[in-house]
Amino acid sequence: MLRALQLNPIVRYVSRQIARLANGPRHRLATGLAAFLLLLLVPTVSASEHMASPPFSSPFAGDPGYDNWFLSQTYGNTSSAYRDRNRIYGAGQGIHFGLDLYTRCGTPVLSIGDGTVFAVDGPYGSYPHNVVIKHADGYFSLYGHLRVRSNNLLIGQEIKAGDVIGESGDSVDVVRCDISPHLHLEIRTDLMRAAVNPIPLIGGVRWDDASLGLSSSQPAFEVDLDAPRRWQSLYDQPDIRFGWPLLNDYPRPWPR
Amino acid sequence: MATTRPSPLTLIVISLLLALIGFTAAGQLARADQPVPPGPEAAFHVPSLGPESYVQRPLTEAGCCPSFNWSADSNRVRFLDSVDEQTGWWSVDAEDAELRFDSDLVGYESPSGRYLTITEGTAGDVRVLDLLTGESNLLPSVGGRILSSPDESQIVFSIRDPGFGAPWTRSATIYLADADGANRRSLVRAVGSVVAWFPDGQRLLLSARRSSTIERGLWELNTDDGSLRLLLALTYFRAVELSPDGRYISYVRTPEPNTDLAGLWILDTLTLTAKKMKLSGSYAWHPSSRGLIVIPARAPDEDDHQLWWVDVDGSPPVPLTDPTLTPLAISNFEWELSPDGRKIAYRAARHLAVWVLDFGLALDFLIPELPTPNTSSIR
Repeated sequence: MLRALQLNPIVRYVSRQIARLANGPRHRLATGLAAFLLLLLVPTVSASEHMASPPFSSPFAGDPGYDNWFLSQTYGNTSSAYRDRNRIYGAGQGIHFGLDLYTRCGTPVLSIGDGTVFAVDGPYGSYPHNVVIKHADGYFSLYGHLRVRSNNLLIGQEIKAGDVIGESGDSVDVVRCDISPHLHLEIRTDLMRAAVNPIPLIGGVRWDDASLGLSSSQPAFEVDLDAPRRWQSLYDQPDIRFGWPLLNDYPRPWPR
Repeated sequence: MATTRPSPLTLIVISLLLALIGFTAAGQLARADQPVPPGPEAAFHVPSLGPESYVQRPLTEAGCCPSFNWSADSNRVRFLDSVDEQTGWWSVDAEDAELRFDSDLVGYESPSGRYLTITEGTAGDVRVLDLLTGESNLLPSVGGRILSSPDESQIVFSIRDPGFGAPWTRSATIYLADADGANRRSLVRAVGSVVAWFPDGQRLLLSARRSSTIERGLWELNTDDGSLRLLLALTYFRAVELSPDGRYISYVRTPEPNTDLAGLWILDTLTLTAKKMKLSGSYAWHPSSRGLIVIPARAPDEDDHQLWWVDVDGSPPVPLTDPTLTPLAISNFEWELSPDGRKIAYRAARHLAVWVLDFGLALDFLIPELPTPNTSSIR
């Protein structure tokens, strides 16, 4: 996505030098072409650059822990999403398009950034309740499987990072809350029509440790044997657009 | 005075050159902020183990590779990759990182490596390939992973009910069959999964969630008559593992709001008493079944992970590495203990290469049941 393209400092310097050299109409054309070439060559922002100044914060108070919360299923090309790519995750190109953060029901859920309430119980699934906050730079955060959403949330209402917007719930048993208690958190773009990996965008969490090592087996991600190294880390995962074709309909997957 | 401006073509060429320089410099900058790993010959003092040492060395290039595991002899680390159009299991020697292509057959192996199960098509059919004889059998509609019994005479597998719920919430029927898929019979229905065979080959450890027929917790399933024995009733637990000798079951209580209860526990299957360990983290059973290698999550002010020995007797955990001496930042807890219990393969967080941490015989000193190593051979 073009929105995700950010220039590293050295390339930004290069771009400025080219712009300084060109100050006539003919040269503006050349500058435009040169900038286009640069954009083609510059990779998307690296994880380390994201981590330097991520715009959002944790949806929970406190660090991950056995007595607090942990990352159960990350965003992206997970093996779990692959197995259900034609059903649950088919609308999201076969990708797990959010984070599943396990915590006991009733844990306060915090807004990850400043913004305004965009939707309350909108048509975004994540039963029984969901809340969407609109942020700057075209980002939206979606909080799903809430057992309770804060009563005073109104569309358009201003929200500050850290404000409590509800309580976590269970995606399966909303009464006993003992089957799959977790918060489903998404970060969307393009007026909710696309989703991006929240991991590099949320600061204050050491994501490499957030699973607490509770995954039952390797690999966490589905392997495309035609491109085994692609999409195999928490940070390297594809953006998705809802309703578009599957990204992971691999002819040779592992595990199957 | 007239100003000389570069031509458009010159601008484009300059931009390409500068971009190339930028990439190179950016790469150097990115590498410069990483801790420099020790070379292959570096050795570290392990304070808790006395004068013994361990060696840390890279095995693969940056970005390589997912799905790594140890060879049965603990000498090589295998991983999935595609190099020069050869795709499948590659491996590197844990001593000198010598690379070789092992096999293009990607499937689940039986304990001895004799049988390989490979899923075919999309209907859950599984082919069992006998690598010794070359014979193969197709098992229709068995779903996912097959677990071979310790003597490889039987297999067990689960078939989930169809439905729209998440897989871990749907009931499944657990089946037993002969190694070639014949004589299939159902054992039990449950929402849960088979964790492992007990070493006697007559019992299965079952981790069950709530269903209409089975209480949530850890169960022992007798494969002769399908009878169940509840070992532990528990609501919130994860990461269940059976010790290699089958005596202990480890599990993590979470999400658990009571700090006194949250964390790593071990259940003794002989006495059915459970004990909370003094340290929790990502863990693996040592082959001796005397304890666990544990890697806790880092505190916010810690850069590196630390390995610990946690004994089943509940004695204080013993640090195996010193984070002030050893750069050890692991990606998403991707690590694996070698079958001989003497090496750790892990994926480095900063460059996603596979590394090895080789303890040699140093760990053996911690385990009184093992023969005392000859100290002259210690690194």
